[in-house]
This record gives sequence, C-alpha cells and structure tokens, in this order.
Amino acid sequence: MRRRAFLMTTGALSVGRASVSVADSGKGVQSGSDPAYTIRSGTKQETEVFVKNDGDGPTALLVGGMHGDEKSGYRAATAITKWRVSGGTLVVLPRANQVAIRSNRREGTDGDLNRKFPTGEKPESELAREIWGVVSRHDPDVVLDLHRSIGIYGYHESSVGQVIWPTNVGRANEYARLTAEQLNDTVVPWSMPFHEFRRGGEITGSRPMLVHKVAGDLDRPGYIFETTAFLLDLGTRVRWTKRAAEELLSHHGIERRGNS
Amino acid sequence: MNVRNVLSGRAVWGWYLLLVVPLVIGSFDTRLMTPLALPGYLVLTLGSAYGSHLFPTFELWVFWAPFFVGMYVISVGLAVLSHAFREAFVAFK
Repeated sequence: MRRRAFLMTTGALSVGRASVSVADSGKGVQSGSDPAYTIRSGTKQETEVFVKNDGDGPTALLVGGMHGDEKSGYRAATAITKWRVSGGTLVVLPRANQVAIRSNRREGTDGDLNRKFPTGEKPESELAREIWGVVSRHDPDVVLDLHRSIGIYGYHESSVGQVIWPTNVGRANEYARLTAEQLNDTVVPWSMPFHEFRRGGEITGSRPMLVHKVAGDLDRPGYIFETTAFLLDLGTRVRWTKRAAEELLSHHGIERRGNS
Repeated sequence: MNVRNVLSGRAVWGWYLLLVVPLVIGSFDTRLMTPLALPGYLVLTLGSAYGSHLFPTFELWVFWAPFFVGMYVISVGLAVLSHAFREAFVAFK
C-alpha cells in the first residue's frame, strides 16, 4: 500500500471514530487563541487542537505533552498556541497526553503514548489513533514533537538531551543542523559547552514513535526536539524550545509574526 | 600552617564558595550561569557523566553530593597552593 494511501485509510478510520467537536467548518482553521476543536471529547484524555493560518503555504503540526512529566514541551507548545504566523498553517496539539500531564508522569492510562505509533500499522491506543487522525486531517508538511530529557547526550548514560533528531526526508537533516547551530550561537552560553545542541541521527520509521511514523508512513520531514533538565531551569528550557520551534518552522516557510 | 587551617581555614571556604556558589545560582536560573560557574560546571558535568556510567540507575541529582565533597577537597588543595605561593612571594621580598 502506498504510504499516502495508508495514511488516508488509517486517518479516515481514526477521525471517523473520534469524538471531534469542531469550532469552525472545514479544517477548523481560526486565527484567535481559542482551540479549533478537541479530540477524545468527553473522556479524561480530552485535549485541544489549535489552528493558526495566514495565507497559502505549508502546514506544520507541532505536538507537546506526549510525556506528562516533560513540562517544557507542553508549556512551550501551549505558549506557541498564542503565536500568530504567516506563510502557512500551524496546527498545535499542546497537551497530547492530558492524563499523564495531570499526574506529572511520563505515561498515561495506556502506557507510553510515544510508543503507540508503529510504522505501517494502526496506532495502538485510542488516543494515539485520534492524534494520528489529527495528522490525517491536516496532512502536515512537517511535524515537530517537543520533549525534554534528563542528561546530556553522549555523556550521561541513556540520555538524549540537547539534540534535534530529524527524519531522513528532504532537507530535515540540514535544517536540524542549522537550527542546532543557531541555538548554540544565540541561546546557549559559551560557558556551558556540554549544553550545545547537536543534530541526532536520522529518524527512519524503525521505532513506534509519532515522528518515526511520520517518516515511515508519510515520508515527510519531522523532528524530535530534546532539551535537558540537567542544570537548566524550566523557564530556560521553555524559551529554548520555543526558539527551536520558531527556527525549524521558519526553515519550512512558516514565520512567526510579531511577538504575540 | 596548622592542620585546622589546612582543612577549614578562611582560604578553604573562600575557594569553596567561589567554586560552588556560581554554579548553584546558575542551576536555579540559567540566565545567572556566569563564566565564574565554569569550573564547577565542568566538574559536575564530567563527574556526573562518569558517575552515570558507574551507576546508570541513579538519578543525576544524586551526583551533587560527590560534587560538594569533591569541591571541598579541591578547595583544600587550592588553599594550600595559594598559601605556599604567598609564602614564596614573601620570601623573595
């Protein structure tokens, strides 16, 4: 099955079953700071989707809160819902796993949400299927998934911190490198050399994560952004995460407009 | 220089505060992580990296304890060196 056809099939199944309450017609596009629609409505997992649109252009999907104990990811994503953009459409799912966020734990009721997206198969939980339904509905040209880690990649055991992982699609690898360089030049203090951002290895679809599925099923650019809690306060992690998102979106033709 | 001065003299605590305080402040708010914190930053980062390889199940905040102890040992060494330097300088006067 062709990848796009597979997406449309599984996406249609997901959306068909989803309890989606749409604020607007069509794709739920709106320009204020109110959510466009919710997924998992009426359940403990109910969560909002925001859509920002200005002019024709690419569509980006930004996800935060896949892991409930990674505050910087969902706080940055929540702040980004208030952005205004130009040159395309920005879809934001700021708090993907509400149950995990409320309990400040990595996992929600169905386990680790970011292990429920196997390539070439249907997502493995109802929440994961509805999130994939959001992907199908907006058919994004790029996907950003915001995370935080514990330590520093390459130094602390099993840590993936301070890394941007691109999919092996298009120019994602180059954009991840440029964004890491930009962050190192502008936000990481020179006196914190181990905190310099790196580009991670390319994501191929080999693991059951959202951005892997974006690579494997859709063949689209996507990124997992990780910043570390090691010696970084929460406010700094949120600022750096927003800066990375702004830079990556810019490489894909979506510019943040003003400071709103 | 007697043993008490070597282990807990003003020079020891002076060096200790200089090495530890900037990093502690910077860890609460990264905007306050000045270059003064660099020595502590290097010691804590490399020390915790080594510690995490030895004890991969430990959380990283655990390695603050050996950091505080290690910085005390380094401070004693620096105090002894600075005392010896001062003595040598006075001897040449």
